[in-house]
Amino acid sequence: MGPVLRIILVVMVGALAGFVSVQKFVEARGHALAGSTWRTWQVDSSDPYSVAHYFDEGMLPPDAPQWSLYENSKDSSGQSLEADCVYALAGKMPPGRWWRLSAESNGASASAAHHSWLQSDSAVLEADGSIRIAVSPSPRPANWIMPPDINDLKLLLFVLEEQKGAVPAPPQIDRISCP
Amino acid sequence: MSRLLYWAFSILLVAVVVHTAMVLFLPRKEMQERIALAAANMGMNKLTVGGPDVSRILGYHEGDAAYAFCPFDISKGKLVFDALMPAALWSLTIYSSRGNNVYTVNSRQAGVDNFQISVRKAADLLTQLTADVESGPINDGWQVRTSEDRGLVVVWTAIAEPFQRVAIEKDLSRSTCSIVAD
Repeated sequence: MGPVLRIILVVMVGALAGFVSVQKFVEARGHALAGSTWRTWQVDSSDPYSVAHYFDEGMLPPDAPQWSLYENSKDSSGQSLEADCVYALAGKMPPGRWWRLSAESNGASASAAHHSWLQSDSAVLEADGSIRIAVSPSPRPANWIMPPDINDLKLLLFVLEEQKGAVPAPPQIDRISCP
Repeated sequence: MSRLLYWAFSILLVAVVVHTAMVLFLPRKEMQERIALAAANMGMNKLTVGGPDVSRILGYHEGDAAYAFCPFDISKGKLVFDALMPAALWSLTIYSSRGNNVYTVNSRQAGVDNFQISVRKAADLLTQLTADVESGPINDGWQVRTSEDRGLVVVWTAIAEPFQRVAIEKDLSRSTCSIVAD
């Protein structure tokens, strides 16, 4: 092998290793909530990996500690979320002053599609304070989120001024049916 | 053997350079591009209440909220943000061109809806080199010092009902964002 070819190979292998290691480090910063497929990346100015994660997702880092952001691209069985499936979320939202749950494209900036989000002001709660939400391409009674017509779906939950301490994980996502 | 070590070390060196560049420089580059894009669409040092197209440029969607943006450049003076906030849930965040949160305050923390935030360049070299931000209260608001010339102010306001949007956006547009000689 000639020296030029060797240098090209070194640069390619090194660049690939650098790229993969960044992805691994960023993924490792994601904190999985116990017994849940929801994950969160804390924003700390001294942690460039979390900042890189949010830019990679097409958004500015949420302003911690005001905002908490939970992300989920898998249902409770670990399967990737799909826009043409029907999902049911049941449980309690993390306590805070305000929240918004939205269905968005994984790795792209936010969608503005009508009905692709639900917020605390307009949500219907159960008598015990829990919530049931349907994520479905067709209309559902009560709390309904219509995902945008995309393959790579994820749910984002923003919570404003989340109470500190033992915060429950956001509602789990159960797959009900798929075409 | 030493030849193999040489190539292995070379690969490691390239990997470290790529890793560092991706983590440290790409977010900064992307933030600077967003500030430039916002300035091109809205004007520098000017508050714009974002319609859906403007908000989407910066990665926000308006379905449930109203946003106002002010891309700023404090190389020629201090930024003065005179806030007249709507009587609603709101949150104000100042980002530096590194993508970090320089300062943040919300409706509960502020306690008032009328206040002033000034953003200055950090005066001393040590702060510029070691810290992204210093902040503290002043007479009728807060003063922020940052090591970066450029940044972005983002104001978020919750809209509980769609009919409130017009009034809240009108309230938001009363705030001003301008550069004043320091």
